[in-house]
Amino acid sequence: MNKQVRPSRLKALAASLRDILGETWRQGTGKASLILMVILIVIATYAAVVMPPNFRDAVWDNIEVQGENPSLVPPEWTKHIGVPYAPHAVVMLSELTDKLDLDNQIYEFNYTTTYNLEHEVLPQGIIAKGYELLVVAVGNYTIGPRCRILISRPDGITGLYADTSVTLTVSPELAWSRSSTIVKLSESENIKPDLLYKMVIKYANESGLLILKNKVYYIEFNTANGTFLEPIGNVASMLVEDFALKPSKYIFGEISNINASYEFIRGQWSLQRVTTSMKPLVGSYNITISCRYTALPPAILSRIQSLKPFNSIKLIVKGSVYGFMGTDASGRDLALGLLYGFPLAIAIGFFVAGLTSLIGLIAGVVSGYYGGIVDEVIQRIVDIMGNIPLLPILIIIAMALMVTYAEAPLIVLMGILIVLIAFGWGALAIIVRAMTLSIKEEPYIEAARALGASDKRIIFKHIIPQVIPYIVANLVFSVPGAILTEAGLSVLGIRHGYPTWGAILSEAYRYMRVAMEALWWVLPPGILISITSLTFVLLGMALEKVVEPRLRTA
Amino acid sequence: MIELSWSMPVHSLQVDEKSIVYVENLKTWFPIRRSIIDIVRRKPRLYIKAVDGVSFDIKEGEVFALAGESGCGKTTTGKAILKLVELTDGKVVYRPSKHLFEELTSINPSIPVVDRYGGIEISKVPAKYFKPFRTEMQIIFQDPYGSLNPRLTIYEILEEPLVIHEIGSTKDERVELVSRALEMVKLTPPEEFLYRYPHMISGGQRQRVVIARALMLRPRFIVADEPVSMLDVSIRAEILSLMMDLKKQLGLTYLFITHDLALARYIAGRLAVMYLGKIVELGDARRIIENPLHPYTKALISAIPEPDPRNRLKTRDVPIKGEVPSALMIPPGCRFHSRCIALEQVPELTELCIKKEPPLIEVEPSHYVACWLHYKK
Repeated sequence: MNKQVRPSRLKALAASLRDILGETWRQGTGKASLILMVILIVIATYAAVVMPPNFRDAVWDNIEVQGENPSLVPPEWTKHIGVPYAPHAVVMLSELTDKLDLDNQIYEFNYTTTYNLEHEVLPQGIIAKGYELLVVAVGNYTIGPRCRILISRPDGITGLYADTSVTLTVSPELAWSRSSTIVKLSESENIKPDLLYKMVIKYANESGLLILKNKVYYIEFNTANGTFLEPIGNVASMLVEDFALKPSKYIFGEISNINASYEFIRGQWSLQRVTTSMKPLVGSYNITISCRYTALPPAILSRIQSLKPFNSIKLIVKGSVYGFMGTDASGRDLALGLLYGFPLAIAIGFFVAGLTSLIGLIAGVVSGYYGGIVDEVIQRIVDIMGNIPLLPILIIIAMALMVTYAEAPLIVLMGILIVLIAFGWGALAIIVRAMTLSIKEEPYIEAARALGASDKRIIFKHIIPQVIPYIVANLVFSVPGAILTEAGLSVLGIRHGYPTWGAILSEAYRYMRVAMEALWWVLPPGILISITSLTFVLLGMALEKVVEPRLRTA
Repeated sequence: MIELSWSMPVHSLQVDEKSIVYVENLKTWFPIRRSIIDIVRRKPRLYIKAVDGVSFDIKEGEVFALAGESGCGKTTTGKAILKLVELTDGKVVYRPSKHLFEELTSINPSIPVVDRYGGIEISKVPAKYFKPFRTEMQIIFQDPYGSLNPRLTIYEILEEPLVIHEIGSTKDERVELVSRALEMVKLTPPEEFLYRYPHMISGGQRQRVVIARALMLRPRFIVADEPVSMLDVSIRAEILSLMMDLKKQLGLTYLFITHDLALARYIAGRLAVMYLGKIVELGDARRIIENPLHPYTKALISAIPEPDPRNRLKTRDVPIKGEVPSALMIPPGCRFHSRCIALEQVPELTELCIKKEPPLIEVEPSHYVACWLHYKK
């Protein structure tokens, strides 16, 4: 019975939807809002499909990912408008450029690349990450490579800026010892010590070679191992300290001026402070990563020749520009965060607006249709809710949730949204109640009752279809409200942890002094919030005119 | 206290096998909402006495007209009969057709049957058992603009009774039934009207749709609540003759509510004139209009425009004064006394009229009047 009716009803629904869209399109604001809306939805859908669901943990708040990016740099396209820059370079080195049999028991493998600095701007640093380390197991100890980064500069100076050796000492108690802090074994180590031990023993018996996969080894700069090939007089040790703080300043710069300050203490002059003026050195830099195995057992020698110490090395020179939207102070790629903000904003907006409208609709219709004590109770609840100041309540509840559920950002966010919904439905319920009261008195409602229609049928067939257009217009209107409130709360310091546009703004607000100059950090989230709100407000205005023809001026 | 005795009988219901509907001492009072202060002070609840003790019966196949000015309670009476407003007191009895009676008693054996002709006191039937009565008792509304949902097509409007009462299992069947109903009210060809919206057709056509909707369930009894008062004069006659044709064709009984006594004379068999919630005159329509006995009926009749060109310059004298009192504060005694011209003309009755409410007495055979003027010792 229903099957036969449905197609026509669907068709009617599609027709009325087409009418509404057509009517909206005919207005200037409607046209603008529909175009913006389509763009918004396309981007949001793209982001929702392409970005990983655990984006927040895997990318946004992942320290390893953050560490690969320069921090607080403008977008890459700024170089086209004449801003001097140091390029951001990411090179995967998988081919050996050099293989040396230095001695009978020593092998050296070199990976080489070049980096060009065209403007007098300092890059932020160098990181190398090695993948799939080759370790030689001998008996119950292992031999890993000693790795160094050598940079030969355009002025002819070659510096050794990092030095590390990978030694895995396998024993039942201790899986390996790290040599200093330079080599960081990935913290997310899956292989348990005893398992590694068994593996090493097994492979050592068969071939003596072990390739550790699924692990990343970092070769970073550290003063203790960085050395200047040409020390500069008495102040060298002071400079080394400075180097610890700002290595890239010394790697990519030449000293133009040194000021040493002395103080007369206890009858003699002593060196107090050294300040250097560094000038970035323009030109081509040769970067070599050299890995050396020493004291190899003779049985291995012939085999190791054909192998590589790392399957590949990712060499990153952190530039002074990055990506499409730049980075924030922690080195997060803002383009990703802003893109992720699209589906988040739309989800937050529609979740709050949708539930608010639904509750308002139900409460209003029930209140208006049934009247009496039910009406009284609902209206008094609305009155009470309407007189409680929302913002303090919201801040208190959100703060409590932040403290209680620090580890569950979803609960904090949902808590905020639910408070927004709980305080949001009242106004709509009043309007819907008023509409229901007037529709209820229409003669056709009485006619339906005379035909024997139940309350349910009257509500669903006669009342709700008349209220729905208003509900939809109201829904569209209240979407930006939710987005703006969420952003406002973020800026007020309520952080649920999701990278919404508001949260990005809030992060910028925390670094206020820095962010004043980092416009690429502050402006885009603000502009996106504004545009999204504008879209919904314009659409709401256009829809309101469609559903309420009296508002039309022409 | 004035001693009263009279030889003429007071109106009482004469229920027989032809009575399809009768109401006895029907009262519909609407309470006025009290403020919290009033509740605290224990002020008595005030009521608007829209209908205040009305009794009449309607015989099968007749057109019973209920006339009176606006606010006199005639529409409320009609709605109370259909259980669209709640009764305060009194009873409404409807005698269903045989098969409906059997159906009703099989569903609910304790259904309140009150007379030997199978009349059921519908005012005592619980709401959940009332639905079947809707198929036999219908209403035609005054306002053809308001009584059709503007968002539904004619087909959807006429389909609604079928869906509610689960008549017609397939859409084709329902389309067929709807088309036949449209043909019945002379909206032909039906295909042309099925998928139009109410705003796309004229007022007369809308009222035909309203009539078709009332006929969808094949009723026996129809309350016609001023069915032509909102239509153009040119269309009224068409709609009225359609209603009369349908009555003949389908054996309908009408309770015809109108404020237009001329119309009542044209179509009604019997007529009851109401004033402030009470019947003041009841009897054969033609006889009442030709020989009105109650001062109020006289006033109403003299207000009927006469289609005689010779009268065009004559100032008409309507024998009534003042305004209708509020139904909240019904005057004591005869409720018409504050407006009655006869009260001034017959001073010896004054005290009686002000203090004592006149009963509905039979002045001549089956012509009842509630007025002390016609009371004879």
